[in-house]
Amino acid sequence: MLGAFSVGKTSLVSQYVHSIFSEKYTTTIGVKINKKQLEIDEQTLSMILWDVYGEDNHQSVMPSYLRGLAGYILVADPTRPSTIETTLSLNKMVGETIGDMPFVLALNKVDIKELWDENALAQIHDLSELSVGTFETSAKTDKGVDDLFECLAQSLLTSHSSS
Amino acid sequence: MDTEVSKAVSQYVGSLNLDNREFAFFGLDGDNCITRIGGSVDQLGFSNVKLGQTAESQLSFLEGLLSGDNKPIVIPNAQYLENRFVDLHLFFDANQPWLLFVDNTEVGVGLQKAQQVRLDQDILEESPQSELGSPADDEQHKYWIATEKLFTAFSGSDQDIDEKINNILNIGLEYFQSSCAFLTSDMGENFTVTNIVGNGVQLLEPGEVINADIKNKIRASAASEVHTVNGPFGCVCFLNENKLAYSLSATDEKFLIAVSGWIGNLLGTKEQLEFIEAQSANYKNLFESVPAMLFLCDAEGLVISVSQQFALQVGLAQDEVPGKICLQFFDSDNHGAIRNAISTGEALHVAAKLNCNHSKALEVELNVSEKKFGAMSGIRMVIATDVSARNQAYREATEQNRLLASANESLDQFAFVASHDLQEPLRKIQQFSSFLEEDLEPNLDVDGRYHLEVIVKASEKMSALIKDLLSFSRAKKAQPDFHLVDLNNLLTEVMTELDLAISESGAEVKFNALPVVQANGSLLSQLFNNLIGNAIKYRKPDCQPVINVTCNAVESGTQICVSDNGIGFDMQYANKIFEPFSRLHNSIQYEGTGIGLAICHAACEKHGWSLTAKGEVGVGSTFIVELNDA
Ligand SMILES: Nc1nc2c(ncn2[C@@H]2O[C@H](COP(=O)(O)OP(=O)(O)OP(=O)(O)O)[C@@H](O)[C@H]2O)c(=O)[nH]1
Ligand SMILES: [Mg+2]
Repeated sequence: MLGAFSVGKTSLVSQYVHSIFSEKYTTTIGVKINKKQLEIDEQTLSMILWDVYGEDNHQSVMPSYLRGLAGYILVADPTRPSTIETTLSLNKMVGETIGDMPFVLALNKVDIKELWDENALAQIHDLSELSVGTFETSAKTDKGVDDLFECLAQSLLTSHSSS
Repeated sequence: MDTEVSKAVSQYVGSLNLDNREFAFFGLDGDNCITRIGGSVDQLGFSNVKLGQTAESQLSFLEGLLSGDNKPIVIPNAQYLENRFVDLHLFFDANQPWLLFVDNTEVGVGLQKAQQVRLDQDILEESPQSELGSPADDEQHKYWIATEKLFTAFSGSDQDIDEKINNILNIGLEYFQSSCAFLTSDMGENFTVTNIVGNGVQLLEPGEVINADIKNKIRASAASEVHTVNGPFGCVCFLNENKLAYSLSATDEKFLIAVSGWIGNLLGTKEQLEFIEAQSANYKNLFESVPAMLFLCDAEGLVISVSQQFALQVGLAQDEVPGKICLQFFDSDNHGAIRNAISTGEALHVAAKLNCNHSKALEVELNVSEKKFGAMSGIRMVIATDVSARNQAYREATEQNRLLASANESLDQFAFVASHDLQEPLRKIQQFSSFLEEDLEPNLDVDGRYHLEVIVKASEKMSALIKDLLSFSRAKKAQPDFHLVDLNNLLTEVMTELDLAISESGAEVKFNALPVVQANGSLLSQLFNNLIGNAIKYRKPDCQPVINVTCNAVESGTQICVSDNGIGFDMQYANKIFEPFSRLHNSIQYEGTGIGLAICHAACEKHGWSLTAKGEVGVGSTFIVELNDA
């Protein structure tokens, strides 16, 4: 899970893995590691989810947190245009560190879509083209959350069986 | 624990300067099977890990990490256990991978707090590493055992920081075979003991300032400065009264550094926690004591902190608001303005509606200013002031005015209709009384003729009244066109109209250099006709009326004054004279209907001008038309 701080990375994982949402913001230090088993095409898949701390002005994501990743979810909070810029720079950083990997894009907090900055969304168009899927999600209402993770899982399975 | 394992790990640990932290490690073979296990395996959540099986199969969170090149890697603060922060190190010794897990919970929790208030992210820098040579085996062994004691002695979280420091001192005491170990604050002249263990030296008590005698002994001790992240703190000393001086090997020095580093770390954590707690307490206090709705946010409106009052208003717990975008609390119509105000960082009186959980939206005004808090800059402080009562009063006043205006309008309408419809029957009365006069003329006696005369006079008077009333209503109702009107020309025309009255009364009317104004000519000639006509009408008997029309520039614009030397009036009636049909002077002496000034007033109103009057009984009156130049 990569993205700017407070975009809802932890909330998405917590909704997906534990079906819990909290209004309270507890910023992530380092990385929270979670495991989720899911069935796709009659296969059981274990996803190890790394919920990495969000980038802010004081700290950028250290490349060591990307070690061994098979795919990633870029999370943006379109109510804050700067988080969209962060996803672009993070994606670049991933590409430069470990090369191209499948990723999905989460535009989170769709439950407050009226607050989204539509202009900022235009910036994400190219990135969205590169992704294996783009989802409008809400960790709060659970909208799009399963789809988001399953899309990534699906694409990991595909790339795994074809290689 | 076998020494081979210790050696590989301890070298790595030594190079890391791991201080006081708990750790566990695994040695792996080429297939990533675990071949060695050591350290605080249970505490770090590895009680079930077995030798001979692959690391990834037993520790699923390692998935993906071990494949790839042989580059060492550190992943700080991995949280694979609840409430524990563990630094994960992967390093290679002769191409064999080692996994080292080092507990970092204390720092992680501190960081978490620091991050949470986002006050000073930079405090928790790692202290610089020391480069030291590889020690000899037996020394290394002793060092290792002592270091391990340091690591394990503090795995429990029950002890407070002072207890932990005393434990470190005891471990050092044993290592250096000292009689006494102590920690001092201050490195200047006045050492003050903060912690002391051991015996043999009864000279020192915690809190005591060390005297010169002891200072000499300290010179002979194994001692090291202690620094915390906030700067120098004091020193740690291991004293042996039987020894003249310690000669410290490289390993001893390394151990000493580890001890002082560890103590510094503990003290730093303590200072830091105190600092953070004090800061958060300050914040909380500030926000809780402010009976206003306010919040701090970043330039995009992401809430960082919030006053209780605000949280209350939006129906959330105070700790549920941070992390939210503040716009969501306001009516969507206001979003543009608020976004703007917050991104600029400086805005006053931004009107907005605050969505409240328990009642209808609250009308507020937002004041936004940019602030700097600690290391954080660009923070917006937004103060929301409840203006619903003020707005309500304003709305009520506006509504009252509107009602009043419409009442006035219908009154005017009524006057118009009434006067218009009255004309018809009145004309009949006048007509038929003149028929009567003609028919009866030869037969009328004196009384009869007088009665008829009264009827005719009264109806003439009523006709005049109605005519005036109609022109007053017309003046009020008019939707006049405005043109440029030269007042000099206009007054000349008015004087022609008043020719008779002027020559009869011998009045002198003076004016010059009057301006050109944007006005309606016919309203304006009514205005001056009435004003000058009045001035002539209300002249003093036996005195030549002199009327001056002047133009003066005043602060609010231009004034046209019409002043006379007539009978004047009492200032207490200054407003009353503009009411229709109000007459200050009896109608026998001064004939008229009392509508003239009301028409003047209406004519001025139509231009957005004001008309006022000044007067003094027996001296004269001045009527002032104030032109609104703007
Ligand atoms: N309305 C709404 N709020 C959300 C959503 N997801 C997260 N939040 C809120 O956003 C805040 C931040 O959520 P986190 O999940 O902690 O964000 P994060 O990206 O993990 O933040 P860092 O760990 O600091 O990088 C919290 O207050 C959440 O309640 C969402 O889908 N809708
Ligand atoms: Mg998080």
